[in-house]
Amino acid sequence: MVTKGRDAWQHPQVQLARGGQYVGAYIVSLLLTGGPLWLVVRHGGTPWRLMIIIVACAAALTLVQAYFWPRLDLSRTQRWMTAALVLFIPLVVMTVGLTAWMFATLYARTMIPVLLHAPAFGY
Amino acid sequence: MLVSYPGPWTPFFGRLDAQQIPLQNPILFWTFVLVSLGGVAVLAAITYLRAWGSLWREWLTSVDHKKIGVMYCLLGIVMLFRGFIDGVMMRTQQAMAVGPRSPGYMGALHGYLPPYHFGQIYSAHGTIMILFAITPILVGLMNIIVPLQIGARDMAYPYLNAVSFWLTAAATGLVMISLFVGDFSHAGWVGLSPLTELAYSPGVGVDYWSWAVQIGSIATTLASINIIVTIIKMRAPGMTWTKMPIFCWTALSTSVVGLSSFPVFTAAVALLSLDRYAGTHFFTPGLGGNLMLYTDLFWIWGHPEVYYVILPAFGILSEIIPTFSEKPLFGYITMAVASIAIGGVSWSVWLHHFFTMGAGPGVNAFFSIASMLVGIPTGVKVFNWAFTLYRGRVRFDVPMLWALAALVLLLIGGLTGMMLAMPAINYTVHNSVFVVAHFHTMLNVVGFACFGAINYWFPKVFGFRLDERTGKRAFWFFSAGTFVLFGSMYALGFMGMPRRIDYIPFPSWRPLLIAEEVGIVLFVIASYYMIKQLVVSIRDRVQNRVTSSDVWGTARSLEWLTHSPVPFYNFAVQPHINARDEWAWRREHGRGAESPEHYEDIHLPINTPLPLILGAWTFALGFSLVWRMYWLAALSLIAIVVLVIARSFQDDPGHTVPGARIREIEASYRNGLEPAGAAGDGAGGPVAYPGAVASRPQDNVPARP
Ligand code: HEM
Ligand SMILES: [Cu+2]
Repeated sequence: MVTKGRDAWQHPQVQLARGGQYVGAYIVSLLLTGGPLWLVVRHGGTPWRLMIIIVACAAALTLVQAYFWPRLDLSRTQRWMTAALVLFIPLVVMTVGLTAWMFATLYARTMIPVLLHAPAFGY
Repeated sequence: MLVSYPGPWTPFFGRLDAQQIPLQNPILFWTFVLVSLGGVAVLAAITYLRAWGSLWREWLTSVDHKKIGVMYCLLGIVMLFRGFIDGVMMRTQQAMAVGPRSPGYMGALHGYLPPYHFGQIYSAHGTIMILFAITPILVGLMNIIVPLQIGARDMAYPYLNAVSFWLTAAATGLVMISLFVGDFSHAGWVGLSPLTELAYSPGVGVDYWSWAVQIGSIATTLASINIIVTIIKMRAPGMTWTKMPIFCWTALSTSVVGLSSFPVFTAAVALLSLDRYAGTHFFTPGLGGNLMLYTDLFWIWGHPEVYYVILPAFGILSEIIPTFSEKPLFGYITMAVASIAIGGVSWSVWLHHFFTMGAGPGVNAFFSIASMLVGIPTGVKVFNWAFTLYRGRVRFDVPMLWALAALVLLLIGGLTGMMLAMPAINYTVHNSVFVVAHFHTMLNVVGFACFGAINYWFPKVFGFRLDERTGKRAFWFFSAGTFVLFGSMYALGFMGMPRRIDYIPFPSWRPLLIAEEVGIVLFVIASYYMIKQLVVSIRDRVQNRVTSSDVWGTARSLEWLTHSPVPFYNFAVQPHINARDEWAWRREHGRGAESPEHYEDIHLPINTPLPLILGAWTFALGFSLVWRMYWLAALSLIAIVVLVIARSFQDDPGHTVPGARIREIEASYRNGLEPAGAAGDGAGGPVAYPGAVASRPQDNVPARP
């Protein structure tokens, strides 16, 4: 419902804003994405090792961004936001997992890899 | 330029030029003439009745959930009619264009629609019916009914509610204007990939489709948030989870489905737009793109979406059937659990829409079994309704007729769904009209429930009943049309007729195609009676006036406690909930609404034109993106951002209706006078046709034997 005498600056979510942390989180994000990219370009390590590094960096990136940007934490202001995110995790895991499963052998079963090298598709 | 497409581009008008207005197409030309004349007539009528002021103050700027709900329903009904005309055109083309000797007219080789135009019609039909007709009607009904059923004054976020509505209206406007400026997508409501890619659809059709559905799905996401928060936070004291009406349970479940799935769709179509505008390769064949990934993302949303529309329909049936069986709903708890379970399972079945993609047997088996699991909670519901009917005193009022027919359709649609969920069967009928018949049976369940709901709640909202005689005729013709049309379509599906074809090569299919045409004629007659029902009811509104809070005499839930039409403050005193079927409980205990000595002041939000303005800018944004007028797109985007920020600084103290004023309004309701000003006060009012409240012997406990 309507709150009286509302001043947008006083809104609890606006109060959480921290310019410095935003920039800091941005730099950390750049490192966490640039690092794996650099490793991939350099072919640094076995595919397995690369994948583990990429997944770990991605997980760290998610945490850093979720905390320092929208500031998802357990405070009174933010706990519904955090709850919403946590409730979505099973759905994300499920849809991404099932998608990975259905596409895992797809190319081998269909003729898509052959088509990919057909002249009509730019090769 | 990041991408290339044929045709000229100028900085100011983008891709738009005078040739894009299809004057040379007679069908579109005459539609345009008709629509313009109709529009001018409506504007003239409003001016003549001097209704601009009240239209602006009481409707267009309203944040009242009842009025927004009514506007949602109106928008949905208008679009239902537009989608229906598309349907008539497709049926007629398919009845005409059969066999190599069938003649062609108006530039078509066979029938009267060339393939390109036919493709636009089926794409518009599907997109409109699912996203811009049924969805707004259901959101509108939830908007009106949910706060009343939980005893709240309004939705949790009245302003956001108006924003959702006007965004939906903007998206709808984009679909409509594509008729007269440029053209619409021809790639189906699902956006068949890679057909939607710029290389294969270089025109603006797909862009109209993609921006309209992106704006529409943002609106629906916001509406879902609002409904969830309203149900969680705004229930009247005493309304525990197990005392909440079933319609609210389904509204909650559906909104969770909506909130979690619509963003997937928005994102998928946004990636497609990146392909089309920025030259990325998310869904292109080759160059690293993966066209099945689009299909995958689409159905991750698409399947939950079909449950998004069926769940409120289940809720409606669960309200109508007990009222007209004069019994409580059988199996309340299982019903609530089933609603949540259907919402949950709907998340793990999406591959059944593309079994034929060629995934492995393990994958197909998993999704096949998951799809069939949905049948369990759905079956629970069907049995619950059957047991509610069993040994009830069943009355066949119009809403009940629609509800009972919906049950029959649900059975047929459910069984054909099971068939489609078996990969072995699916491989033989996928992409045939058997699938089309399946989902039309199911979506007709939703349609029937909506028509039932409109007949059922109309008196509550407007204060007078809908005409019974014409209503029954509409029902019978509509049902006959459904069975004749879709019965024939199932048969054609088994014969192997593919979906979405503008020319039918086998003359032996002709009889069934003509039967489908007969079916659509029955629908045309039904829509005549529906319009007539509305006209007759408005004409006779004084005779059809509602004289008690509960028109049906046997309704059960809380919305029937307050006056009809509902005053702008919903409940003069916040009700305390004693039982699951609160109104039935009070009726049985001889208690109506509280009428205390002292009325509290009521605090309500004030109206604002901002949502309408945001909708207008969003329309401009969509339109300019379609035509690639980048300066206007940038300008609209800036305007939207600035307005949203400015609004958050605007001091909105709301307004307070003093208790004394409430007392006056309540007293005049009780004395049968028109509550002067109950419609005004700047913030809502009874959603009433003024004549309907002219005089009323008001008693809260209905005089039903
Ligand atoms: C018992 C539950 C249901 C099952 C097992 C089921 C199964 C299926 C399957 C397997 C398909 C894919 C057919 C194909 O393309 O080969 C399908 C299509 C479809 N179903 Fe259902 N369904 C069920 C309920 C519903 C409901 C409740 C609705 C909507 C109200 C619905 C709407 C649709 C739509 C819109 C399509 C096809 C869309 C398209 O391809 O354009 N279904 N269904
Ligand atoms: Cu499905």
